Amino acid sequence: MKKLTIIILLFLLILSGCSSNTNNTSKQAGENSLKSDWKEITAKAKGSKVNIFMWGGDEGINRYIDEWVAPRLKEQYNIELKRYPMDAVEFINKLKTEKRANKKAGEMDVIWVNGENFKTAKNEKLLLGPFTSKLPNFKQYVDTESDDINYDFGFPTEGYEAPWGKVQFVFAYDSNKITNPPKSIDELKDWVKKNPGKFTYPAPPDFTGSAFIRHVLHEKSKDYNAYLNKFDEELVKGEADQVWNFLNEMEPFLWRKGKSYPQSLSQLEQLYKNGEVWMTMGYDEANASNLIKTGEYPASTKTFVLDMGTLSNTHFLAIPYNAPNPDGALVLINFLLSPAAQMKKMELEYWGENMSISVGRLSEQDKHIVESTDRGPATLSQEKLSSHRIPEIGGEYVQWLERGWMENVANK
Amino acid sequence: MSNGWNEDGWKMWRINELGHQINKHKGLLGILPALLFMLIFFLGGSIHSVTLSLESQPVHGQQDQFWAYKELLNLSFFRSVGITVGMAAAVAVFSGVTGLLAALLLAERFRQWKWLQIIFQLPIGIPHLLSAYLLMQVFMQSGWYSRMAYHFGWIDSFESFPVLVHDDWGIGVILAYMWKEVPFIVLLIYPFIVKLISDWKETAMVLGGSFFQTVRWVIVPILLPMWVGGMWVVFAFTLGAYEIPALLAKTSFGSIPVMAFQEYSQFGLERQPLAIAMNLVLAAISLLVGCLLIYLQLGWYKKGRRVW
Amino acid sequence: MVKRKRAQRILIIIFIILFSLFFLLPFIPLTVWSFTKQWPWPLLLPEKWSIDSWKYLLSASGRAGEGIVNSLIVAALTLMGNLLLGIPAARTLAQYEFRGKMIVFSILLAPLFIPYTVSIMGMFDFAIRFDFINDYISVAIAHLLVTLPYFVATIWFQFRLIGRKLQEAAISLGANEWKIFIWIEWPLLLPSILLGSFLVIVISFSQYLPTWIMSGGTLLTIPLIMFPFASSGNSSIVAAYSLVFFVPILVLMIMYYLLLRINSRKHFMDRR
Repeated sequence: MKKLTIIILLFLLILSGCSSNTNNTSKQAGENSLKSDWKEITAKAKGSKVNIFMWGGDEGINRYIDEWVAPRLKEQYNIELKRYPMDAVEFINKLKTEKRANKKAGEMDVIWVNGENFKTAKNEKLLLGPFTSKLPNFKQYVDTESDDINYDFGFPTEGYEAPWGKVQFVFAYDSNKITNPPKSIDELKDWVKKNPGKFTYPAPPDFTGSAFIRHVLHEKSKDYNAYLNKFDEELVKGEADQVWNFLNEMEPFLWRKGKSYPQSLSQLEQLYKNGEVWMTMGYDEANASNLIKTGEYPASTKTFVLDMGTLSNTHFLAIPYNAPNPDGALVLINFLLSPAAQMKKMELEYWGENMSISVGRLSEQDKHIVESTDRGPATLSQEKLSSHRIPEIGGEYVQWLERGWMENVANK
Repeated sequence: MSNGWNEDGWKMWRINELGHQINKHKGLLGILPALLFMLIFFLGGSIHSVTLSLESQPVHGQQDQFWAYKELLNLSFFRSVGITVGMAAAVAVFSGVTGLLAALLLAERFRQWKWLQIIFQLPIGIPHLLSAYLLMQVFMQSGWYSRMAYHFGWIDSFESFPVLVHDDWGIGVILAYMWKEVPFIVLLIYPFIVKLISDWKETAMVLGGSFFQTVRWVIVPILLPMWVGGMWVVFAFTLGAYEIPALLAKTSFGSIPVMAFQEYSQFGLERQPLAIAMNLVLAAISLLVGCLLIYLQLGWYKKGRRVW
Repeated sequence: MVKRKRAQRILIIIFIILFSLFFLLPFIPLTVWSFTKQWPWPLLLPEKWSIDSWKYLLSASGRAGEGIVNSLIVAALTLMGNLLLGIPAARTLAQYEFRGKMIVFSILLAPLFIPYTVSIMGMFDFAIRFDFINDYISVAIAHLLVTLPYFVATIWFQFRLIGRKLQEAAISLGANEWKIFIWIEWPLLLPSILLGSFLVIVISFSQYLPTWIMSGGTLLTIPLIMFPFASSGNSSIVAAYSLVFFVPILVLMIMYYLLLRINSRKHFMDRR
């Protein structure tokens, strides 16, 4: 019996010995950082460790953080950066549970969010507070007046998150198989009817599939701008039938006669890579170029936007309420908004994504670099993209449409 | 026999009995750590989940503890329950029967081809999500099997390859599960089959019984509880797992774990109680099926373990 | 009669080949995918080969090494927990009769028969309350929850097969419980302990959700690194990670069979 007691004691000792040093003062630290000035923040951040939690499914993005950002952050600010792969829904869930358990010191310093996730986080008070006004690079390079910085899927950001990048929805096609890509949703339908089985879209609530049906709404709706305002179920109810009718008319001509849809964008891309379908789509204008470069897409892949425009959105970085190192988080975000980091992000070498800072505010030299950046063979020109841009609608509409699709199109 | 022996014997027996009594209670201690562990973590976790599923929804204003369960009371959910349970049962039965067959074949051949065991057990090492992914790569219309069929000249376009992924009947889902679960059943029962065969071989030879008679009269009756138990494990697992149906079932298939996962991850945090409630319904079903199996097994023991 | 026997044998061989193909074939495209980025229909083998995925895996960003080490540590801790909790429990269940045994047994095996998603979701709160516990240990606790039933069931069955005769004899010769366990039961149990350990390690290796929840996503085991790629559809990288993931399992599998054979040979000698 004595032996057993000793073993148990030893075990407990190991348990407590291994425990990480939790400081319960983290929340206060966060509030303090929001009060201190930039000099103090960088001084306090020196020698610390920052954890960024972000979606980890893209090789290029991961390499950008690990190979380009992390060494520079270490060199310039003596901050150690560690990336943890995790879906936004998952870390918001985690934060919510931590909040409920009243956990003061968390693990996440910076999180990559947008849309619904940000809205939940802000509404449930999972975020540290308005911090963008602290960041020198935000003040200097970001167009603080523009709607795509101040609204995230129709929800005001109010400084709780800092813009990291902008993406635009584009369709991709194999130019060896299609010469004249459609220019509108209606033309797309005609094309699908002429080429049965060669088109499909991911089943909502997949992010991309959900965006696709919003393009249908955009072209069928009498007044799309009405959706940018507060949620009004009557409005969407009145117009949704047209969307369902349109999609149902197209359905018999889709891949597998519309009996099933790809479960995710990755399945659609797989079908495209194998040659089962001739078109794909994605909420990233440079994705096709990226995949041509890595060799996953045929080199004949090109992209197009609709004449009436395609959706675009901004994605953001935020700081959780219980970030263990808020100073380091602020320094990291500021660094990620620097022209150097933003321009590097735009190169196909790593990511190829559009900047969140405004070109007009850059130095002449940087402007020149941006203009000469090669965004890849399949990426449309900046003018073409920015002149065909439509804003995202509120999160409630998005979810309403996703459910509606499942009821009226998938399970009808 | 003298009286003295009897007395000694009785004493010995008394001492033994005493030692036995002590050992009996000491032996019982062995179960405590494991039991406590399960009580704290499994039951504790489950009960906590129940309370989470009863969380009232702030959005709708009024406090209704059972809103999640009320929302489940509709025809399409019942249809989904039917499909999910049916699919899990099909997977369990197919995997069980195929697994038994595979284990018997292996046991028949095990002297010649020892490496066969390893082949038959390879898929165990692959997580379900990956196996779904892997099997999609081979079974889809433009997948690897369709390419082989093309090179053999059996088909001339991928459209003529049978639809196995996203199909109407969930064939792809069942195949993927069988790929994972048949090896599990084999792993579970194979060592015992080998042992039983070697133990009974001589007896069977003497009595002139064939291999199949050994199977019928020896192996199946002894292994039945374990075999059925294995199928129940497969059933319960299939009931709760979302990876394979999410990737391989058609969009309108209606598997509950997939729906629960969508509710949990896509439709906002206030709908999470709904996801947990769905899972609790599945857990209850699994529990019911388990009770039924135990009841049947007791009856089977009473009837003297007759198989057919 | 002879003809029937031959037909039977051919049938058996055909079945075995079919089974082997069913299990083995999917691994071939997996291996090929890890060496190519582009592989459209109807090519049986790709035209362009590339080792980019492997390069990525071995780069700082790929973290394959870190993932394997973490997976191994957690699996080892989980196995320790199983041995410590599982063997005594299985022994008691197999050798003693007591009131409520059925209930105790069903509680121990419950995670097998009740989808454990439910209890894991509930454990989210535990994970946060007990966050002072080292991540490796708290993740191992969750894995223990998932694996213990398999382990207990396997060991229990073997204990039942062993029976209690040898032990009774040993007691009458004056052996104590420990001696009985070490000299009589352990050698007889070994095959099932090997099987149980194998199952435990393999199951622990492939856990995603429990690892995620208990460590808050910070303990990067192989599934945690790999699954984001599986959902984003990068076939080549997923394939490479799968192979990395699969190597330890394969080694383990071969080790299991070797140990089993050594053990059975030893027994064979003993019997002589």
